[in-house]
Amino acid sequence: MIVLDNVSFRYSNDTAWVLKNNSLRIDQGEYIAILGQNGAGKSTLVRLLNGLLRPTQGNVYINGMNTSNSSVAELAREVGLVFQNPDHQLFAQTVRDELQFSVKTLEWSAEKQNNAIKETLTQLDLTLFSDRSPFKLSGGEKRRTSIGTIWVRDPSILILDEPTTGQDAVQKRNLASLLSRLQTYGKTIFLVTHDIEFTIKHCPRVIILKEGQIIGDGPTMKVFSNQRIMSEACLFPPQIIRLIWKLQETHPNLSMPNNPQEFTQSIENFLKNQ
Amino acid sequence: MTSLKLLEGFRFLEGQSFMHRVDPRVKMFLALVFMILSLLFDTVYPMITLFCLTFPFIIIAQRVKRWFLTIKSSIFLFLLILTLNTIFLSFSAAVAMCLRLLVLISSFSIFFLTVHPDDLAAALVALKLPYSFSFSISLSFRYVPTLALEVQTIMEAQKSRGLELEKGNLFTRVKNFLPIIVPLVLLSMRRALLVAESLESRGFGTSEKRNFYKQISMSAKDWILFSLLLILLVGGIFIKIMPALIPDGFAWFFQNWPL
Repeated sequence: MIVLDNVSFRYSNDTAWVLKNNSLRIDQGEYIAILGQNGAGKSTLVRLLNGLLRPTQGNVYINGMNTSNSSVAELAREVGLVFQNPDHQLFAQTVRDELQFSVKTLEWSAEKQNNAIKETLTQLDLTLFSDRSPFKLSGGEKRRTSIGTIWVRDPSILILDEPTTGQDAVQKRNLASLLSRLQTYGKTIFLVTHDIEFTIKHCPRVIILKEGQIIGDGPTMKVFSNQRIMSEACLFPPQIIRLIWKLQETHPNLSMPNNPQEFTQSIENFLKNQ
Repeated sequence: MTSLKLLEGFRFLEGQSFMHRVDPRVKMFLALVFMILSLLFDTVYPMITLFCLTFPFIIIAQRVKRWFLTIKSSIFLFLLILTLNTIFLSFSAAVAMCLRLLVLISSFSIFFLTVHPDDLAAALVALKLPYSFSFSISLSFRYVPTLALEVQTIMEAQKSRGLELEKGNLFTRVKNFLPIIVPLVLLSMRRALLVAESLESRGFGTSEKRNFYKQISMSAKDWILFSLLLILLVGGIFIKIMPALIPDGFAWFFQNWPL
C-alpha cells in the first residue's frame, strides 16, 4: 500500500515547490495512471515513492515503511521503478546477466535466484533472447527486458515511467497485455504517462497532477469526463468521452458509463434493439 | 545528485564579472599556464603558491560556491590520491598530488565557468584552428550538462535495481560504477552519431569560407593579464630547468616535507 501524507517537495530552499500538500492512498493490487503536463511533478512524485527523493514536508509510506527512514536499496525491494529509456538501465552482456545483476543484491539462495530469472524470462517472453546481448534487441524486446530487470526482484509495486512513449500500436498492445498479466499476481501497477487513450483502455483509476497538486483522482471515466479537471490540466479528453458527449446532445438520458467495456456493451445492446 | 554537483564547477553560467569579460583565449592560456606549472613542480609549497594564485580568479569570477561544490564532490578522489600516494610514496608527496589536483580543477574551473561554448569555438577559430575542429570541441563542452543529467538518470535507474554505489570496499565501489559507465558510453556514442547526422542534414561543412556572428578581440586588460601569465610561466620553467639559480635561503621552498 502507498500512502502520501500531506507531501510537499522542493529541490532546495531557494527553488519553487515541485509538489504541494498532496495526500493519496493506493491499495495493493490497484492499476493506476498518473497524468499531467510536462513539469506537473509526475516524475518527482514517483521518485519520492522509491526513495530517490525524500519529501521536504509530510511523509510517504510504502507498505508501512516511511521512505524518509529507509534507503533506496531497502525501498527497491518493495517498489520497482522502470525508467522511460531502457538504455539507461541495460549494460550487461546478456539478457540473463541483466536479470542476474538485479537479484544479486537480494539475500536469496542461488536456487531462488535461478527460479526467479527463469520465471521472469518465461513471463516476459524473453527465454529465446536470454543469451543475447540486450543491445541487439528490438525496442519492444528492450522494453520487456528493462521491465524484467525490475520484475525479477518481485517488488509489490511496479512503477513504469512513460512506458508507451515511442512504441507502435502492436508494442503498446503487447505491453498492455503484459501489464494486465503482471497485475493478476496482485501487484500494484503505477503508470506515469501522457497516453490518454492507453489509460482509459487499461487503467481503472487515474490521478491528474497540475503544478505539483493533485487536481483529479478517481475512476478513469469519471475523471476524464470532468471538463473542469481536463481543461485545468490542459488534457484533451479521449475519443470515447467525446463521442459520449456528442451522443448526449441528442440523447440526454445517456449516462456516462463506468468503463469503455460498459459503453461498448450499451452500444451493442442499442444496435440489437434497432 | 553527486555527479551533477561534481560538474557544477565546469558549467558555464552567465555573469558580468571581470573574468567573464576577459578574452577566452587569455582564459585558455591561464588554464594551460597553471596546468603546466602544476605538472612541472611536485612539492607542497609551489603547489600552495599556485593554488593561492588561482583562487583569486575564482573570487573575481564570483563563482566560489560552484567551485566549492565540485571540490566537495571530489572528496573521494582526493582521499584516494592521498591514501595511495601515502602508501606508495610519502605523505608529503600525497599532499602535493592533492594540491596539484586542486590547482588543476581550479584553473579549468575558471575557464569553464566563465567561457560560453560559442566563445570557445570563436577563440579556437581565432587561434587558426580548423572550424570543424573548434566546433567539435565547443559542442563537446556544450553537452556537459546533458551528460551530467544522463549520469544522474542512469544512477537512479541502477539504484532502483538495488545497486548501492556508496557501499563496500574500494574495489567494490569501483566495480559498482560499471553499470553506470557502460550505458553512458553507449548513449553518448549513439548521440554523437545522431548529432553528426543532424549537422550533415543542415549542410555543415559544405562551404569552405564562413562568417561569424560574434567576433572576439584582445583589449588592453587582456594583454596585461596575458603578459603576467607569460612571465609566471617563463619564470616557473626557468626555476625548474635552472635550479642552481635558486638562492640558498629559498631551497626549502622547492623541497618535500621530510614525511
